Amino acid sequence: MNLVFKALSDPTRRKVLELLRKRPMTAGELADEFPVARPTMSAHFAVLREANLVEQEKVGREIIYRLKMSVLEEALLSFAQAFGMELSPRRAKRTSAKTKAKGATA
Amino acid sequence: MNSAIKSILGGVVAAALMIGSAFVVRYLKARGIFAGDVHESVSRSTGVITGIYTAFLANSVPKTLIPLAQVREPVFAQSLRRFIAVTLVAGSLLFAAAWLFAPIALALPLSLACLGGAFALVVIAILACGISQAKGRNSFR
Repeated sequence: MNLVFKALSDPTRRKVLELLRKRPMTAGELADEFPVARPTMSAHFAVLREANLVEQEKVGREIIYRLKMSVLEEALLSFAQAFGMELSPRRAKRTSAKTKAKGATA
Repeated sequence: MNSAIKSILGGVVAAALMIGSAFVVRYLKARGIFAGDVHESVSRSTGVITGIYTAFLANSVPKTLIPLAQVREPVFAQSLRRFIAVTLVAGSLLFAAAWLFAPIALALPLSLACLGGAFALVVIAILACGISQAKGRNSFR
């Protein structure tokens, strides 16, 4: 559950989940929706996969992401969207740096 | 842990809780600690555990994905799976709430109406999806 809270605490990851609620999307389509570098997006996808909120599947040359959220996790996502579930500024900075570093090594 | 083993264990735990709650109520009654009606209390606890366990099972319905190659309409399948899960979770929680709060004479019909209504909605949604797919449309709502 801790991994789920960690995944939902970031607005970019929440937006990814919101987009996947509409339909499964390729990694490229998702990355195009955000003004961040692809390695950073890959790191975000990794966090979501680790929390078991999305599933990736390779179809041909493309990687397709699908939503894999239980009803409770969807309710948590809606709650986080409605009331905000941000990390404290210091922790957010640290997490963001970690995500970027992860993305750079990916 | 394998998901099959997990679901078997979940069922065993739910069954153990139901039997255990009946034993606890009878034991407390025999000791004179509990003054209420044993039959009513056992029925209520069994109903509440059944409702919560059904909600727990329905909660994980959207997590059971099948490979994309086997899905004809992924968007359609995703929205249907989500609808089924939300409906069954709501129905199961209402089932548990009916057993917990409703007068005992009303608890059984009310709880069955809640869960039966949820199942009926799910069946209607699946049939509607089948019909709209047969007609070539692929939007669920």
